[in-house]
Amino acid sequence: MALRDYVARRLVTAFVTFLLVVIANFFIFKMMPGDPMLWYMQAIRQQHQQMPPEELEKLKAQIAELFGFNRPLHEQFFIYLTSLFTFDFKISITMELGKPVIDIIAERLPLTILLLTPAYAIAIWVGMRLGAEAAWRRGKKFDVAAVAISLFFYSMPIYWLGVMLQIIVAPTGWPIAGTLDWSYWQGLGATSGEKTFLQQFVDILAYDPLGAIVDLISHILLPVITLVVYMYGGYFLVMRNTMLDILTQDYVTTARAIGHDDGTVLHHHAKRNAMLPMITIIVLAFAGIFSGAVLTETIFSWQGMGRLIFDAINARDYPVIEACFFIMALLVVVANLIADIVYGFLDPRIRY
Amino acid sequence: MSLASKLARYKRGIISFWRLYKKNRFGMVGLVMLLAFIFLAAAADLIAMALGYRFDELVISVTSVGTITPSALLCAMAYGARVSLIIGITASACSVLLGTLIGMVSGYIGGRVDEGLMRITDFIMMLPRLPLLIVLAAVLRGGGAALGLSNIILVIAILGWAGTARVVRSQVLSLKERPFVEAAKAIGASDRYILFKHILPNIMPLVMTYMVLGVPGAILSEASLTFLGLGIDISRSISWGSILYWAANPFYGAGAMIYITKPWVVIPPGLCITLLTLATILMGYAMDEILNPRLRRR
Repeated sequence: MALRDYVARRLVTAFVTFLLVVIANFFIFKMMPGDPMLWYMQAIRQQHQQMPPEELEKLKAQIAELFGFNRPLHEQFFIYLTSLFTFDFKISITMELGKPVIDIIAERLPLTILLLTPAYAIAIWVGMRLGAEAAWRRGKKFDVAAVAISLFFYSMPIYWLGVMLQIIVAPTGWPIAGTLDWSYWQGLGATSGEKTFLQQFVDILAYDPLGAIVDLISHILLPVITLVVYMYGGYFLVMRNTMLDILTQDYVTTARAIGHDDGTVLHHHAKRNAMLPMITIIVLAFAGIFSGAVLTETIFSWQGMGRLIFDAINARDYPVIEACFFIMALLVVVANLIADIVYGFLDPRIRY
Repeated sequence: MSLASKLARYKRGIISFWRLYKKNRFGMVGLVMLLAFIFLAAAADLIAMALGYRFDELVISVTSVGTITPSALLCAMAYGARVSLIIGITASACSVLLGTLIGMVSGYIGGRVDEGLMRITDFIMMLPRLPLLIVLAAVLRGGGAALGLSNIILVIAILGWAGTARVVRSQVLSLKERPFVEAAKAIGASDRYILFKHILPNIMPLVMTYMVLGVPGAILSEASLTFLGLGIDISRSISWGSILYWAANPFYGAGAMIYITKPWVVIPPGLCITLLTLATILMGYAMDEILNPRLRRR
């Protein structure tokens, strides 16, 4: 099969998977207990206690019209589809009443990316490095110790790891939660609480660039360490297994027979070939990091997407949850598609 | 084949498996750890009786973590071992059973059925596990009460079968082309007979391995859900996750982290989750090494 057919096939598969996600997203939230309208009315009553009844009715009708609650199911589904594909996620109904969901996500997503990118990169680097090294010294002390330690961390619940780090660090006065020391900066008059996170961060950065970065790093360090320790074990184990396989291949023996030294054989012959299966693992694990993000962000009060999902589910803010799931699914499906296509280019044997 | 000879064959199989398993150092460490936890779980009622706690008293001391005493924590830990073991083993067994059935059907029938089932498998494997667990738990929770044991097992099983289904399917795809299946067909065996009498016994070692390898995931899933306050109902069963939830409740916010001043309450449950998970992972790898012909060292 030609490469073009392979790519086309992958595209179709990805699209079908994505449609499944979109459909499931709609019906799962329809199955969730409680009428979203009731939650919404409750939130309004809490926040605007003096609102006259006729205005309340008017608002209610507007909301019903916006989401199509008063229409038959298939029309609701159609409204839902158009809103997803135009990235118009309507408004939040309980958490931040009336605020467009897209604005909430635009505030939270950068924070999650800021947290996950370094954690993901370091975990992959450490995992692969250690994995290759352990496979090279199979059965030696280093290998046994690395496997035992990695398995131990791999078994550890990530939130407990976070809690332990907080307990250890707390007496030193190091910040154990949050994103930045807001009250300190607001006290200095560098920014104000009404702005969004990004605007405030830009303000602070302009006010005192060095201080802002130091503050951010001191807050991000613990969650990043937590995520790295939680994630690297998986990469380590896969890399080690792949390398064990590769080190028994004929071309490694040949490379040795030619007289290359250990370093050349490991880095130039074995490791390069081990990269291929790692690409799949790295991308497949992409979905897994969202699970890690929910727990880590919750523990460290990091105001990203993970914390948003947790808060939105507790507050029954259906539009927010639906949007979060949609974006997560989109990212995961696209990442998988890219991995498949890259794999197809890199490995001429993959054509099916 | 008579029942007696069948039993004798199983016995021989188990003995030869044990002979290989005994030599696996990691596997033996895992087994000893697991046995210790089973012992703790079995003795939960006895420990509570000896220290003079009733179950509802324990629930109160766990939920008001400020006044918990070390002996109450010990009792709660023993009950937690019970919950983790029950959920880990049952949920893993359910999801592997489901996965085996789906994988067998998908691989054996092939065609459109296979295509459809594999798309669903992809879909479940691709999506982030924990957010899905949270939403499903919220669906099953109904009016806001927490989940019972069986519901939490259901939630974990619904999301856990995909990996097994994939592997079983690929095995069935190769098995169904073998001569013995053709021979069975030639003498008029039905599809069901072939699937359960010829193909299933051949994938049994794989299924057993996956059952053990599924336990750690199930234990961690339950603990994570309960830790987020969306899992098991504490008034009916105390789990390690609920001890952590009440000690390090994320709702307290950054200002009131009770556990900072009481580390001894949060260390045991987390450590036990880690060790029990580790024990089952070690056992699963050991079994994989013995039963999976690709990994066996020759």
